[in-house]
Amino acid sequence: MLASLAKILSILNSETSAWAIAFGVALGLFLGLGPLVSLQGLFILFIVCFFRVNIAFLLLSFALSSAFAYLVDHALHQLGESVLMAESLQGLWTGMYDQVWARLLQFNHTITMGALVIGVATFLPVLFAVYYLVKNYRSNIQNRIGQLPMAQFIKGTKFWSLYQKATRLKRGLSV
Amino acid sequence: MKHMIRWRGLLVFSGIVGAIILFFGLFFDGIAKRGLEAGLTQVNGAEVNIAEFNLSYWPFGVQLKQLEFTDPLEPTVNKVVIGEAAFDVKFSELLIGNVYIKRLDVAQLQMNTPRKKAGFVVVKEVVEDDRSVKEQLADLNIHLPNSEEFFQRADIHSIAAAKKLEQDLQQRQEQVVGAYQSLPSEERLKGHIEAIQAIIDAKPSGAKEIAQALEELKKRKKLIQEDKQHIESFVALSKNTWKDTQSDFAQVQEQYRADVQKAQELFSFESDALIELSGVLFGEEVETWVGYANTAYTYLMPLLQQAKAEEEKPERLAGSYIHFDNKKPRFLAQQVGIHILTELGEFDVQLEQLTWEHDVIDEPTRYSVASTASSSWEQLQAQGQFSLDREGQVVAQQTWSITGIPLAQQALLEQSGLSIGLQQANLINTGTLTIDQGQIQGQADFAFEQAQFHVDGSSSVSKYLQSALENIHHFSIQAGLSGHLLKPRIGIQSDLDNQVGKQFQQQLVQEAQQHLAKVESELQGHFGTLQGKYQQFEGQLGSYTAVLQEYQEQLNELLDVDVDSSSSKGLQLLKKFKKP
Repeated sequence: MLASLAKILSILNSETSAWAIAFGVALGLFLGLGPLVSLQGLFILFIVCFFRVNIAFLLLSFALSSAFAYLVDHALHQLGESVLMAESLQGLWTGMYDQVWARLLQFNHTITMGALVIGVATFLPVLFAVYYLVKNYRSNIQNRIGQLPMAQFIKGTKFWSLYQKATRLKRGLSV
Repeated sequence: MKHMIRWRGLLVFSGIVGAIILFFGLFFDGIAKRGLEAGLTQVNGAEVNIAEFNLSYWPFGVQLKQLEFTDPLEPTVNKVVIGEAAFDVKFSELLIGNVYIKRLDVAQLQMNTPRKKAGFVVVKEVVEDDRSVKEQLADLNIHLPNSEEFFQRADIHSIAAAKKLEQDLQQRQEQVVGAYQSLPSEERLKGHIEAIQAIIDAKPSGAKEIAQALEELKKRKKLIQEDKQHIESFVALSKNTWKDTQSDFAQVQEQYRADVQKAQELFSFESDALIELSGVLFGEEVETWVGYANTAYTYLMPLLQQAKAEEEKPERLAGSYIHFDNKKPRFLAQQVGIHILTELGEFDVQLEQLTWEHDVIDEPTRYSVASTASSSWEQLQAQGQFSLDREGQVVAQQTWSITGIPLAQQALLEQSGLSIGLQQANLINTGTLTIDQGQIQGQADFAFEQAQFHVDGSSSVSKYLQSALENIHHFSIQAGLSGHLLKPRIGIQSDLDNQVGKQFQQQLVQEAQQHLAKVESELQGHFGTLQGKYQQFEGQLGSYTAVLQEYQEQLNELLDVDVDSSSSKGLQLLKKFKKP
């Protein structure tokens, strides 16, 4: 747990692109809300592998959003059902129902649809919000936190040595 | 842009996708086999095993070998075994969960075969332990009482009453005879006459003689009066005894008539009271035969209904799939050919448009069943159609005809004390049935020709059945079907019952007449003896009365004699007097 936290902090304090972190969080949220074993899951895996998306933040976001999705499962089901049953969208859904690609996306599954709606609706706000937070953290907050007495104390603990180790490891990998 | 793309990541992704494809390529047969087994087990309600599962990718098709469907009610038996099944599936539709089969061939389908190992049951149904209807007949105690049992068990009064009256009659007879014998003798009567004659003959003339004659006459008359009273007492006794005897005899006569009536009632029969033999003998067999006719529904319908129910089961917590009305079913086999092997023969079943979503395709599943000549029949044909409505209820129609069914050595009932078999018969079975909302309505007709029964056993009913059934060679059974599809009620009507009833009646009436004749003869014997003695007593009393009447007349004349009146009158009277 401490090692994971240290790794997260080291990433935040490293020179990793803020966009990579933001995409990691946004995609992790998207992945965590919907079903993991699905065509959209495979698509996100492709994006994560092919583009520079921060995997640690993706996993953190995925874990948190999965737990959140478990709690709001019923709400997602109701949201998905209301979208799928919406009178004005029946033509669209019936048309898609005959398409193999659409059926592979399991669009007619209530929780999948609910998760898709929430995922799409929150993707861009989360993306930009996380990007802004990381940028703001690095430019303003990081140095101030380092000067706090509490931070001085932490630097003398085991956690700090783990953090240093993670940072060195990351640099070594990036060389 | 260069920093955005991770080429090594692309390799990793390709590796993951490749591994997935390789995994499914290597293990898909096994996964699909287990998935299909699990799915069919849920639908069947008990373990389903598939020995071999082969996929062909172009064209995409499946070949299955040795499918075993455990019977949920009897897990050591396979309800259905399919030797081989092969079908092609439209792959693009399969990806989205639709199963479209153009042609499904099922070969070597067998039913009710033993399993090597008992299969597990998903849902165990509780089976009511019904007592076999056949046990009813063996328990049936048809027993005709003979004359001895009739006298032992029936509440017969006339014999005892007749015997008692016989004894009473004897006593009364002795009493009357005794009383008669104690009456004044003939000599005494002669003595009275002679004494009076002497008084008259003496012709008293003086006052002294007359007074003496009067005194003697007075004394004699007193004696005569005493004798007369004695005789009158006897006559009264005789009358009273006869009156009592008449009354007692009338009572016994009434009881005798009542007992004869009772015997006649006991030994007479109504055919309505006899057993319904056809239901007992053929009930289970008819159920079995109707079951064969109903096989398509009893096996296929639960599977289709279960499949529909499984598909429509709401999965609230795991979400649910919403199906849009695109007028396409999720399962459709356009042509299905099934070859069934049973102990009775081989069947060729053809189905068109097999699905459980008839409301979507808007037409029913049609089918035909045919079996060529076998040792079980000359010809079998059945055709019909069925559909499931939106609620999963069955609507169906079927007609069938089986001709030339040779029945030989068919055991109909095997119980201790009674066994009934059909040694031979030729059976024709036709029927129609309709199913609406899961409720069945129909009729199956069974015509038996050249029938020969065999009855054996020590049970009391066996001898009657043997004689009755030996004379019956043609009969028919009508089985009316009603109730729920999976638990149909079968009401049996047959002219066999009437025929057996008539035979029973003839035998029983004949036997009863013999017993009745014995009973009547015995009652008549007792009553006849009594009647003889009664008549003898009556004659005896009659003769006594006649004699005593003459005596009384003579005594009355003697008492009328008076010396004070003219002697000539006394002489005249005396002359009129007849000597006994």
